[in-house]
Amino acid sequence: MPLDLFKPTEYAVPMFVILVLAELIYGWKTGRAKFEGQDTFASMFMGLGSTITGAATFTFTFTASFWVWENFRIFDFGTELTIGIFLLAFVLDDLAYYWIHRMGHRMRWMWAAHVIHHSSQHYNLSTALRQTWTSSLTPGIFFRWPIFILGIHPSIVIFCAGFNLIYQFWIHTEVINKCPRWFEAIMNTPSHHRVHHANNPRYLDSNYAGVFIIWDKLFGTYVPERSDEPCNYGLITDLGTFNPLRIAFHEWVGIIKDIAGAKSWREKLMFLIAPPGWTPDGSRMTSEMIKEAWNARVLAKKKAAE
Amino acid sequence: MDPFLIIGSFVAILLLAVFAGKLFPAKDILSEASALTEYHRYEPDAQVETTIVGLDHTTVLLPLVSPNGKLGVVTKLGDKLVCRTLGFGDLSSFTVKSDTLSFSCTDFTYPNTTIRLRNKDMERAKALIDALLPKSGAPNAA
Repeated sequence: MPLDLFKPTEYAVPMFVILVLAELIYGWKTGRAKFEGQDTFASMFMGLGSTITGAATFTFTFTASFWVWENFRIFDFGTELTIGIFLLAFVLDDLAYYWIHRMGHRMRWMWAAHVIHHSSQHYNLSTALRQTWTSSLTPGIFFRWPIFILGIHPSIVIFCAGFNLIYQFWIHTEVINKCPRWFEAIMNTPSHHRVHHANNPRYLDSNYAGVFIIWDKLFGTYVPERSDEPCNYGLITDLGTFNPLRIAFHEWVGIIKDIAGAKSWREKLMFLIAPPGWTPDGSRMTSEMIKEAWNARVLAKKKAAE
Repeated sequence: MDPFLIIGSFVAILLLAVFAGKLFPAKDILSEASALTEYHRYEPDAQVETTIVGLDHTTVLLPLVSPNGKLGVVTKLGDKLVCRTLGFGDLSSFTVKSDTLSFSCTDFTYPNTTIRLRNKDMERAKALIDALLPKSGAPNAA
């Protein structure tokens, strides 16, 4: 059964709206943040849709999580929320988030849900709210199961995940350049996360962290922001529409089309589990191929200059 | 979820978006130069033959030398630019009404594009678009 814990995100929503408004006015006055009306609407509407679909699928995801905890837990951390349990659950949940997020970029099935968050060419606080409607259709749910098997109650993990989500809101901004060095070293910051949202070849597939940037440093995916290479936000192939339905389902439509046209069961499976951009004939580009081509161009330019 | 909460949230989103639109009006950002810069960022190896700039500066067509037979398109979406490289079979239909050429793509994320053209550019644009249709035929002229 769920524990009687409040939902942190429900309390944070009014603050999100106030902070978006504050960034809007600050950006208008200083030019340090940029917005566009239709983009802002699309981002925030996707956020509303995500809240509705999340509520609709909560019973299913929680029941599955509770079943795992009840039947397979190794230790029993109890059902009381102490500071120690909270800290342990928060760190483990953030580690699970790192892998969910990394797979969200490296497996097309999970990318189909996560791509929504990257589909804006803007980077402001409203972008933080541009969230998926279809996360429950992906294998992302399994990545938190080890925490339940360890013995931490799903309600506590979900409680921590709420705070994780709240933390990630403020890093979606261009208003803050760099935080103090010690903070940049440990925590995910606007600078680190701008790199994650950039489609410059140098920055692709990096900085998956939720709260602690140490996971990227530990697993080799950390890329610092460079002052000589400003971030260009959005997708490799940006969307040509603000239609929320096209934003929410475009990658799913792409997967279905590709699977329908696949020549073998292996190809069908690969269209689901291979990285975005994978094709049997290499006619589209994965992020590795884009980086490789970019590196070759940089090298050729250097040689020509010499 | 409480339906009143959903309706209230929707109204708040709408108001914020209108406010954002007022404070940050979309400017005319699409020119020959900006289209070429953006397209080369999108397709660094492409070689553009020429540029066909729409009269209302919302779309630019870029016939390509390489990859041969393909057409680069840059369109303005809000205050940003969106690029595509269209090849044979990427279009489903096109229509011409007066000085306006509209075409539909098979790409779910880039469904319809419209470009207003001078007479001298229209014939070239029609030929370029027509060559990309799976079954080449006369457009629905009006």
